[in-house]
Amino acid sequence: MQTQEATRKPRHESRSEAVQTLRPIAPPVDIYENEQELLLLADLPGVTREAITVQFEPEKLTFEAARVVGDQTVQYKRVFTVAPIFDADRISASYERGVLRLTLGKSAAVRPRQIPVTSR
Amino acid sequence: MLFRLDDHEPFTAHFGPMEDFRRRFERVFEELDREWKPARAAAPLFADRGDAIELTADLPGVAESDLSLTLNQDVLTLGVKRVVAGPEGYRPHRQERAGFQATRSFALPCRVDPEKVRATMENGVLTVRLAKAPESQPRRVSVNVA
Repeated sequence: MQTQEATRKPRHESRSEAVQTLRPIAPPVDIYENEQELLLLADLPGVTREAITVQFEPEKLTFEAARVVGDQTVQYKRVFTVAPIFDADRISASYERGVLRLTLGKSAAVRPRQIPVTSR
Repeated sequence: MLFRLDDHEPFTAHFGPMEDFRRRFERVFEELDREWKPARAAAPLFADRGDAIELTADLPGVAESDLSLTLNQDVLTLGVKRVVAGPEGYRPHRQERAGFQATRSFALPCRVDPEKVRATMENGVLTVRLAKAPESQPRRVSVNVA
């Protein structure tokens, strides 16, 4: 799994509008995997559940959130390249105590399967 | 330019441009590094709300039971602990979220009313509102025309 650049603007551009929009912050993330799924935990303090967007495209997972601190808006964003082994229908997200929790279920083709042995 | 024997700084003459290149090259990485590094927890912030002092601190994933707040005269002490344990049966790929345990004391800029301290945790953000003591409240002074 690789991290991709959040969003990159030419330096001069980002500097000129530094007052209005700050560069997105990359929140710290933990990633765990087992045979069934991939689990991602991200620290996103101070945002509301509605302000979080999680987007899954084949091989690309993005989450972002906006947070208002005083008179500034802080943007959180992270993009990950993921192996094409996840089932888009088996992705779930929850947010509790400032931590976003994403689970990506692996598609049936890559999940280990127990094959029963029958006798004849 | 060729290397001259009488050059006082032969090393710099030869390697100066290289050194310069190396420095620039490293700066590129420093820049990248800065962008890539996951954000660290912001330091607690204090704000003066007129009749109260407000402390806000980002504490994602911290349970209320792992927080302790004590007020002693005009010193507020915040103790906090976060245990980041990987879930059972999972293999870690990336662990950027650090666990921590810390105690910090803050000297408040004025007397506060110990009976009127309210602390709330919402979406991983701790907010402590300390109402100022009556003598520290802002007072309006009227200007009289002589």
